[in-house]
Amino acid sequence: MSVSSTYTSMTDEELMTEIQAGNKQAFSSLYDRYSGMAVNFFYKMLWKDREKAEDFMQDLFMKIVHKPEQYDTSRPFKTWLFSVANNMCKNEYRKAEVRVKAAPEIFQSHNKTSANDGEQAGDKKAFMSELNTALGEMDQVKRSVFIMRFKQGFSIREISEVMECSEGTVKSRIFYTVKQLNDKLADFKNIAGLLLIQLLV
Amino acid sequence: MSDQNRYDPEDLELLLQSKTFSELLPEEKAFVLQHVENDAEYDSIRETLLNLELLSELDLAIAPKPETKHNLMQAFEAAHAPKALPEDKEPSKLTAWWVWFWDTNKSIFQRPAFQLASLALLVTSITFITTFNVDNQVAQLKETPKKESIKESKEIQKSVKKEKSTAAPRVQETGDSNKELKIPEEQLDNETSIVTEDESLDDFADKEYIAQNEDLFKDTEKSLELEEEVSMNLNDSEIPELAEDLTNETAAESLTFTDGSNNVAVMPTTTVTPEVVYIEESADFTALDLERTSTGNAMLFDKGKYYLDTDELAEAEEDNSPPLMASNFSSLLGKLHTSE
Repeated sequence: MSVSSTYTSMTDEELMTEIQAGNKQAFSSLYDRYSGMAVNFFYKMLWKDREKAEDFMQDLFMKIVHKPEQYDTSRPFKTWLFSVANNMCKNEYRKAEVRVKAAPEIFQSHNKTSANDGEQAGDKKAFMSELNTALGEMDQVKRSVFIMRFKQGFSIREISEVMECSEGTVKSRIFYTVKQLNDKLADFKNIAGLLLIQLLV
Repeated sequence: MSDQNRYDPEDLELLLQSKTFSELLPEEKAFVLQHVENDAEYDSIRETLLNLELLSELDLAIAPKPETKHNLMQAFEAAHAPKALPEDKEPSKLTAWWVWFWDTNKSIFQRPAFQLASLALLVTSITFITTFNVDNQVAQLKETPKKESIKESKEIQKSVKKEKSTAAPRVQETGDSNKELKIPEEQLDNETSIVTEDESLDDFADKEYIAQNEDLFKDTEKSLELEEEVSMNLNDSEIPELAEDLTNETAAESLTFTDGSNNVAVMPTTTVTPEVVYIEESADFTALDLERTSTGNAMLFDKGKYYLDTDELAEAEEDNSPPLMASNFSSLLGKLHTSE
């Protein structure tokens, strides 16, 4: 069995134990597992800003590099990692709120640009753009739940661990998020259906 | 069992995913209608939910940049460098010692170097404070009135003189033109040595004290040094004041004075016990010795500086018949003449 396959077969928690002992290969393996999920999580949470998502993902793994002992190996690594990521997003939202209050016209022009770009690029892009706009207008908790549920494929239990709330609360939040999106995306419903049919066929 | 008990809001997602409104059971419909207005809304939300799930899968995902991993691996290597080193490339003892001494993985307060430096600073501070206090005490001792040290030294001398006076011959009056009192040479020799070897200390009340200071008594030089330590300059004009002060001395007080070049030591005590008025003799001058052998009182004056005429001495002896009291001493001292 090669070294890389050894690490591939290890659980996240076992890899973190190795990382805490300074094992570089373990860190590489763990990065390969979660870097994609993490960067997409940040990408969707942080207004589809790719550079920002890359920076946040790097910062997230830097925390593992410099303070791996902060992770309690008795907890599931995935939920711990996204708890940290979610807290980073919370902080970024707070900063963004300050920025929006300071210069609201910049924020509005940024959203308009995104929407216009979507309209010009076609129905699918327009729908996705509207979806992202609707998500952007939601509060951070609902957005996090939605992204983890529908974009990251997290289970209800995993989301509840990340959000540190009950599974019932997560389900309730998901339902009301969908209901809110249903109202905002009413005009695009047919387009979405057509797109789906095209894509599936 | 009521509908409320069977269906919780979190189950709505499950119902939306699995059934249309028409497919719902009556109790499920009742539960769903608590959260949606009608069947149309239910179906609309269901459609949105299903579309979102499918669109999310089709949503374009981004991949992290390769250089991000490269940067992170370098950072990891740097952060865990000591642990990653193979055994044959372990750091030298000096390096290992320094790593232990200044472990950058620990907070500054947990680093041995910081802790040791703090300890050293603490010890230094305590030492400094202690030394400073001792210096203060020494300074205070230096400022203590010389009477205390005089008292101590003169008590020794007093004790010795007591012993001497019991055995010493009386002052002889020479009757020459200078009308000075002379002391036999052999007596002067004896008096330069405060305590001679053949003098018995058995008669002293405080034998233990004398025994403890025996070496000091036998050592003339030490005695003279002690005399110098407790001496103070005295001008002629100050003598009457001195005399008055002396008469007011409280019990067991004693003083020593000097006129500068010659020692003029006065050691009065104002108790009812016999007093001793003593002026130390040195090699540079002779001394007028007025000793009360019967009581142990004694008085020596520097011939060159202070003296009494013969008749004055006789009068003094008469007026100050033993024991020589401090009250009389002032008048006696006031009669001192200077040779100048």
